[in-house]
Amino acid sequence: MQGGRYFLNSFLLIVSVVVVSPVLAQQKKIKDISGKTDSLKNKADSLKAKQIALNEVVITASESKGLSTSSIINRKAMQHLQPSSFADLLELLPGGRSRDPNLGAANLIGLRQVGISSDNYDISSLGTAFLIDGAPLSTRANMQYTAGFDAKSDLNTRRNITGKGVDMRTLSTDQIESLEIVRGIPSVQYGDLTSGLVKITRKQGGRALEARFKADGFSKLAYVGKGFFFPENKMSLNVDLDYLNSMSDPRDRFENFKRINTSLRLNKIWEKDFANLNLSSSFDYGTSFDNQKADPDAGYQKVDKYRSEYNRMALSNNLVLKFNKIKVLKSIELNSSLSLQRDQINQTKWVQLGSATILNNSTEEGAHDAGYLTPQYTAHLLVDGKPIDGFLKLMANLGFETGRINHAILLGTEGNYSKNNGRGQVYDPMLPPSPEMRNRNRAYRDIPAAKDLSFFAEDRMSVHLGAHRMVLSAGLRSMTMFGLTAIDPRINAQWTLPKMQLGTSDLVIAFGGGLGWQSKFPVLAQMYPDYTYLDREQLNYYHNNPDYRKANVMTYKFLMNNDQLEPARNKKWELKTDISLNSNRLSITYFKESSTSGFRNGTDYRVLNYKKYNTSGIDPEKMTTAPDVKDLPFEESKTTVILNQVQNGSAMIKEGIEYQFSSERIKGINTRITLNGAWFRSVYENSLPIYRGPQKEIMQNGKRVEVLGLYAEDEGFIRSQLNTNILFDTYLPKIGLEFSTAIQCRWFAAQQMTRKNGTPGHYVDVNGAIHPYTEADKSDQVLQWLNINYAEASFNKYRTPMDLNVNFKAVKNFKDKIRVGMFVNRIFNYAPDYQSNGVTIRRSGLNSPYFGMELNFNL
Amino acid sequence: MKINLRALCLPLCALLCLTACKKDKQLGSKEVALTLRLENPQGLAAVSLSGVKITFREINSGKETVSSNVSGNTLSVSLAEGAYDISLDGNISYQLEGKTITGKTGALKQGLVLTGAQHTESLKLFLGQAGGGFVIQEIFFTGTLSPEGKQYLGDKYFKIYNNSGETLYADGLVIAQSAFQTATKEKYTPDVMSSAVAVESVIMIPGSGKQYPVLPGKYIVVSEDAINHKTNNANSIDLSKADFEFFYEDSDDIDNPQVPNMETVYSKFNPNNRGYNSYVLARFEKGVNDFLSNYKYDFSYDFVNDGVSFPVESNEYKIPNSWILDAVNLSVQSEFQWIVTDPALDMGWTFCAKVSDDAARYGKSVRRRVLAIAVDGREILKDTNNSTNDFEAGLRPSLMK
Repeated sequence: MQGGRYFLNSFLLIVSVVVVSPVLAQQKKIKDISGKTDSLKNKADSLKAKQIALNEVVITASESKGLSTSSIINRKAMQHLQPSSFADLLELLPGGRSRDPNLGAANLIGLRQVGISSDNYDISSLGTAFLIDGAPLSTRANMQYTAGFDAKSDLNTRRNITGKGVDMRTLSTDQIESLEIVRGIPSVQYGDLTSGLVKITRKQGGRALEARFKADGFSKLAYVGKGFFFPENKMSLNVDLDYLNSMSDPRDRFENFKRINTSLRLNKIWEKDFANLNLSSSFDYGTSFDNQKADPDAGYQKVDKYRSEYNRMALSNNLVLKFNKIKVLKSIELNSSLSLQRDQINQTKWVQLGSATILNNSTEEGAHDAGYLTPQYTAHLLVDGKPIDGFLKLMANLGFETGRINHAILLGTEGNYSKNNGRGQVYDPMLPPSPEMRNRNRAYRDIPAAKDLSFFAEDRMSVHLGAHRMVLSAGLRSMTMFGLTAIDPRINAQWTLPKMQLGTSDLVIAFGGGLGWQSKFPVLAQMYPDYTYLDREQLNYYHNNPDYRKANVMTYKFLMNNDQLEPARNKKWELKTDISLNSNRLSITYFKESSTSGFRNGTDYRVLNYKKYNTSGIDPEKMTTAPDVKDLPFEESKTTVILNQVQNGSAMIKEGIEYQFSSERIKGINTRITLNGAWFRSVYENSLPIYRGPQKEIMQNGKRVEVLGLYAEDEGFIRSQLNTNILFDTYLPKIGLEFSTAIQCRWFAAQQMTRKNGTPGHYVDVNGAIHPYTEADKSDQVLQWLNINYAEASFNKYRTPMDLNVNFKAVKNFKDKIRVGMFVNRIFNYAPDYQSNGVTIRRSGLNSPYFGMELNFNL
Repeated sequence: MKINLRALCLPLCALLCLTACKKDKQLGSKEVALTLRLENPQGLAAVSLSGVKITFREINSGKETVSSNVSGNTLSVSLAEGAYDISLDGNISYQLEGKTITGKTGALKQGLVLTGAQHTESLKLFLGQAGGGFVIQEIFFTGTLSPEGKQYLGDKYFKIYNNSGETLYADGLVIAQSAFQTATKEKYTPDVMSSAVAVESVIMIPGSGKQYPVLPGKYIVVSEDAINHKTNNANSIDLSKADFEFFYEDSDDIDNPQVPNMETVYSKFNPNNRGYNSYVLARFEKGVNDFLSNYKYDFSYDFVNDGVSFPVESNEYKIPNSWILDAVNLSVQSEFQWIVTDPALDMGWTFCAKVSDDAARYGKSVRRRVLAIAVDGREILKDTNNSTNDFEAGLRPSLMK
């Protein structure tokens, strides 16, 4: 608790500034007010209005009242939360929990799930679409991975978002006016998604000059923005700029992340008798840099450094034409956007060979003599990506009535274009970044563009039956890309019961439900993977005299694309209820999502034929020249190898109950209680069989024996958790003070492996032939190593007991001009030690608080 | 409004009280009266002990208590409660086939937990032999660092020494790496350690039986890659004159035609460069096929990861203790938890790394001490089956020039 004392001191200081000084100010204010001569009636009116206004101040996410299950987060909530990046906002969702920002790694979204750390289930984040003012943030052409570096130790691995979706680190929150996170079934006008949808609406219209400065233990953030309004032209112009500089560890200045986002937005309205035209245009530029290198004074690897740079320029236009006089056609919308990106990874590495090593850099298939690698060298890898994404969407809104049913029809079409014009993976073939790499230089511009086209139609029918109100929305979306097609039907319904009187209170009860399919196309890197090169050593005659050395290699080149690849598809259904009593509101949603076709790195095998040259006939002591393979006897040899291939194999069953209750502000103490949380049960499985090599390298007569097992069941993980967050927020507008205490409790988290059989159904011999694996094979000297025993107890369920955090936030508003905020997450943590299989797991004392402060100007 | 604010200040301040520090409970320092009964090696007559020294090392605190107060094969000592490693060192004389023989004796008991007021424990003595055959003279397992500070791996080697007075043949000698690690103690069931060593990879010197003679006091070098590593890394070693090298055909491995290759018996032999694994030198009694067919070892244990303990089933091979000529336990000084051979094979351990990620370990080896110089001038190496005493830790490799 050494940091604790420092922390306590600063905390006390902040509390005294934020809490105690307003009390003094309040006393002063009361005196001022008493001098005023407002009439009693005016006072009463304004008080009433304020009470309503108070109830409208929501600093948490609120459940949408629309058909799709979604959370709405407004500016006030973001201000109170004091985020560093978009990722911080997710704690407001049911099941969410505050997390310290981790800006040294990609921040991926995972809606309605417990989560698992495996690349094979990234369809969760890839399948969540982000729309900024109607324009999608596409990652389809992103290929910023580093070929050839060891995935475990490589600095890019944790920042790589190829096929993983949007990196939320790169999104700042200060330009956002409000956002809606659709967890349920979105309207068919939104496609190319499986999990959910994030709709961001940015600030618009005239605004004072706003500025924000935030500092915490890891980062500094600054923002300036202003909105100009020209009433005579019915036009507004908004300008924003924000900057973030963060370090993963404040003691290490050699690893950092920087972000700059700027945006210029124009909004213009033309009003005519027959129609109104609204044009919103925006120009955005965003850039971010990841840097990492070893401390030159402390590190051994002095040459090694990593820099990843992201630049995005986007222009988007939304045109809405609203007809005032046409009966059926209500409006036409045209959205378009074009974004240009320039992403570069520059990685430098000092390569020291572990021993003498053959240089494998041939890009042609076949046998050839090979040289040896320089024993040590500096390798440079440039990954140059230039994604271009175009988007066009045309939509018409129609409205008419048939009998008592009111129809709102949506018809539209959408097209997306994605291409990467980058130079791709670029390095000197003589000095490869890694001696073992299976890739070669590859230009991304050779990959064809992805073009998708979709059509959608939706009918939203609403009907009043007496005091009952029913709304049903049914729609269909069809999509095509690269010959892949998907048809997504979606339906959402809501039934609102008549308003009931309970004493003086109004009780409103609504029920809802939905069923829908959502599909996501594979990204370019999944459709067009790199060639895999495999080099088999045929001769490696390493004579002590360098002149007599000779290496001969057989190179194989495989394109491991998958002709069978289909769009990933997710089926969702849900039931919900929403009960409100005056301003108290309770919503509960049960959902179940099932998908078996998420993208994953599956396996396939290939047989390689090569020769083994025999040099035993040569006397190494009496040589005059290096041996020539033409003169050497050889033996034909074969090997089976497992290669990775993108497959539709990731199954995810997500199930859960989400709940949220928010009270009205309790009079007197101006406090609102919000209680939300979720029970989630997520099952992650490989739905396809998998090839695996034996557990150990099997040697027979000094030679490796090549066999593979084909296992019907690969992996399966069951995760579940239950959590509750209770937030008390107090809003005192008179003294400009708001503060909140959040108790975030995870009651339990459980994990379990699905039952699997470790005995392969079949095995592949060295010739690539598949044989059934029999009982007798379990005792075969070679084949026994394919039989994996799983201890019965390894399928047991493990439970981690409760873990409770208390977070505290306070904001003081000085005359609506200056806001001072501070927050402390985990000011208190309760995580008792527990027993697991007789081992005591200690958790107490391991949590240190995360805190920060910020200053806002509104001039 | 004013009152309300004051009221709110109170719970806020109350929150502060929640972050107070908690003191750890002090461990009680109760004493345990330990009675240790020494059991003589089986089959020996007229055994007498002298110069017996017993060391009690408390595992958590590292505190050592030494006692030599043995009377009539019993020792009584008072120790603080705790978990102890007990090692015994001494001289023994006994009658065998009518002759009186004197020699060394030793014993080891690991992880004995002492609680309560009294405890009685027996300790099995075994004979420490002055090695007469092949012994492991040196293991260079750490590799080297390049001048730029990067790891270099191909220059590892084993030196096997003829510690006898006769010419011995290296044909068929087996080097095996232990399956268990000295820094990770698990409860492996079934526990076969008293009869065999679990191994994860095995290599063998080729030959017909009389192909590779080793003269008394001479050694052979078995290396990872028998090449001049100095051309790849200035800090490395010239191993082009090594006697044998490891070679794996399918792993882009180089083959020096001037140096014979080791035969691979089981899996890929890859010495751990921190020194977590132990090594044994052995000879199969009935050949490779008999070993591969009859000595598979299936075991299970609980693996704790991220606070969750998982039962694991695993398979390896085991080499019976009776086949083993020499064993050396290696570890990392700060990480040591247990030895992974029967104490009769080796009751100690040696090391190069002081801490887990010790960069100073590179370019260092462990080497057996010289006990005496024989009449014919050859060195007799110390082999008391206690690597702690027999080896010098963290020396510059003897082949490094």
